[in-house]
Amino acid sequence: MSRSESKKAVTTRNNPNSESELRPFYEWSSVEIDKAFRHVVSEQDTADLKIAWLANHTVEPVSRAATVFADTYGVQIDNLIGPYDQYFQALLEEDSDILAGNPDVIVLWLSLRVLAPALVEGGAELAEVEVSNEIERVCETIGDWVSLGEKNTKAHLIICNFVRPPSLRFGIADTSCSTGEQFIYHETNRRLSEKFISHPRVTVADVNQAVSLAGSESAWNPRMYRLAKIEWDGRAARSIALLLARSFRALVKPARKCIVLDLDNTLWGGVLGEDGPTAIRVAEGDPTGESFAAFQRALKDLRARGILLAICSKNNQEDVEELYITRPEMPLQAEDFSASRVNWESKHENIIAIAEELNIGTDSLVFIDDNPAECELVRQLLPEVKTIQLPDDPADYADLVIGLPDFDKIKLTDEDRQKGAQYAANSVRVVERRSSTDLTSYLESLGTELTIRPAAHSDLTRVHQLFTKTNQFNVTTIRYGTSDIQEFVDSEDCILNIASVSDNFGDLGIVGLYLLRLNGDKAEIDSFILSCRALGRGIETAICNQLKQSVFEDFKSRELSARFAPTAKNRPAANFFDQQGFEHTVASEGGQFDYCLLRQDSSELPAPGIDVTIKENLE
Amino acid sequence: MNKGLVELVADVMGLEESEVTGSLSREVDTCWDSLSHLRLITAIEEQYSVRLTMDEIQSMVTLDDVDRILSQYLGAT
Repeated sequence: MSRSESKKAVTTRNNPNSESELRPFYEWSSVEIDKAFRHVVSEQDTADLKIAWLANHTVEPVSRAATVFADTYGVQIDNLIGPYDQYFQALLEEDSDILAGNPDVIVLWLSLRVLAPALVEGGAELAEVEVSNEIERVCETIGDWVSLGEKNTKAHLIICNFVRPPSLRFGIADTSCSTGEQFIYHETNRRLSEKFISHPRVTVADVNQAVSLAGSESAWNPRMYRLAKIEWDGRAARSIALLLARSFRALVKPARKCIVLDLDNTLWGGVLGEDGPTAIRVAEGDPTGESFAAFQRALKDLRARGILLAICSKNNQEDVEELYITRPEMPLQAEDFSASRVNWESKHENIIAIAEELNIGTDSLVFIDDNPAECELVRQLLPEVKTIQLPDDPADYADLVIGLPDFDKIKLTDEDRQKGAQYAANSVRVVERRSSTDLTSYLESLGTELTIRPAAHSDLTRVHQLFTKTNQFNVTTIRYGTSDIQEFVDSEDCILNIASVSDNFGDLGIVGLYLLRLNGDKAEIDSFILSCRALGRGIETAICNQLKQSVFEDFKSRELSARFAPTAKNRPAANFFDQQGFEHTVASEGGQFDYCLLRQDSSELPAPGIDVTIKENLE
Repeated sequence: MNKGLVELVADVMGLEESEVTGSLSREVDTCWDSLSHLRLITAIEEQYSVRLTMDEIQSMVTLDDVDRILSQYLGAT
């Protein structure tokens, strides 16, 4: 094969989405990775992420494969490989290339062979107390490193956990020895996960699991370790690389928010309109029915993770309603779906309507259908939707949907876990609003309770999400990182207040924030963000009332400035400052709109039906 | 030299096939550094389903060496 042909081979992309389909890691050969890596590096313009790798073994087989996989996900990465076994020095020394490179992500990947050799080779002679001391020391070392990383860099820190070796030193009796490797690796990894569970800037990568997916027996290559300190090569390296590439992707790309599902032969086996509700296959008792039930339970798990479910099916609405009554054993029931379009209109129009109802973009949808023609139609007319045509065998559906990287988030928050229920409550709100003729009485009937308080360190993950993920009601769309947010929380010159909302239908959690910068008797609105879940209810006005009061009365400012910076998505916020009584200033430049409000012109605006509580701190 | 090996070396090291000759040496040619040597070993082991020993891996200095050791596994001359 000539060079030009090989280049073509790696760039073949058969998916119309900007991101291409990634083949399973086990289908790649080392030569393909080498070729693809060279191609990716030669084509790269600006990197989306600069990744520093700090390790006490050779990471190149993994860093190269991760570069290739991340590129397939549409994320270009630039690697900075730290000097061998100098992970502390790299964060401490003034002339450190790592610090100078200002990486977005640092991967810390330590092998116990170097970090705690006593535990690895010759460890059979250790006493129980020695084992637990060593585990303690390992976790403390990593904890110290993380503190340093948080202090000296702005990077997200990814800590790789430890890989259990393929053969255990006490043989098949290893599990019954308190100093056995089964215990050592399990305990060390468990403590690592526990240690960083609520650190917004730190995630633990389950490299142990990635290697076991590849099969550690064939993956551990002692020759490569003795020759070149390469711990994991070949297939295992590619499995680890895939895990890390998914993490990199989740750091820059927003997760998709909703799965739109067909019904017949997608959510259940059979055709409801023809077979009738009792005959469709969706329960235990036959392999096909069990597979569809397993698929539904997998979807229910995604819902618990904050991903919305919606129905888009050519069926009769009454038939579907009857099915929920006839088949209560079906895992997914009416209340699990945040939106539903059961009619005979075209699917792409229904999909657009679902996105509008849920107040999300069509680019945050995944559409799943068994019908090739429907899939093709949606692919062509709505290429931004990720369309998945189900394979023939329903046995594979559950794993397919759980394994999708499109829903990856680097960390889940409490808000994520409640989101499905929140949106379901929102649908009820939408329906009520349609039947109501008087907006004010509708808003009052919601019983909205708004709480505004300063952001605390424990809010970091959610605040970071609001800064990075909110597109619509976001006046300046400045994407602050976690270290910036920490500074705002601590700073005397900034006010970072967050707003949470609950109503008669449920708790919406933290839905908005504003960031004020104070300078003498002037104040500036740096950011004002409200999640689309909370739009259309006057909440932004209620928050702005509190903001004005804070600026002009608590801080005695004379003048409040603000700015609207238009983007492709933030039209919902375009007239916000005009509505709140701000004046345009003449000095608008670069497509942005500058506003100003003087103390004497400021007034509180009506926000009907919202009960506002202002707190000075978290308690 | 084994035709498949030439192709493999070109792919691993990013060379044109015409540049791949038996005299290519990791003591002389900069494209063949210690990491690309290990990538070549991994590629050969995957492609030919063989398992080379540490001594063999270390004694492969020129491409002729690689070809000779590999052909012992493949039963060719």
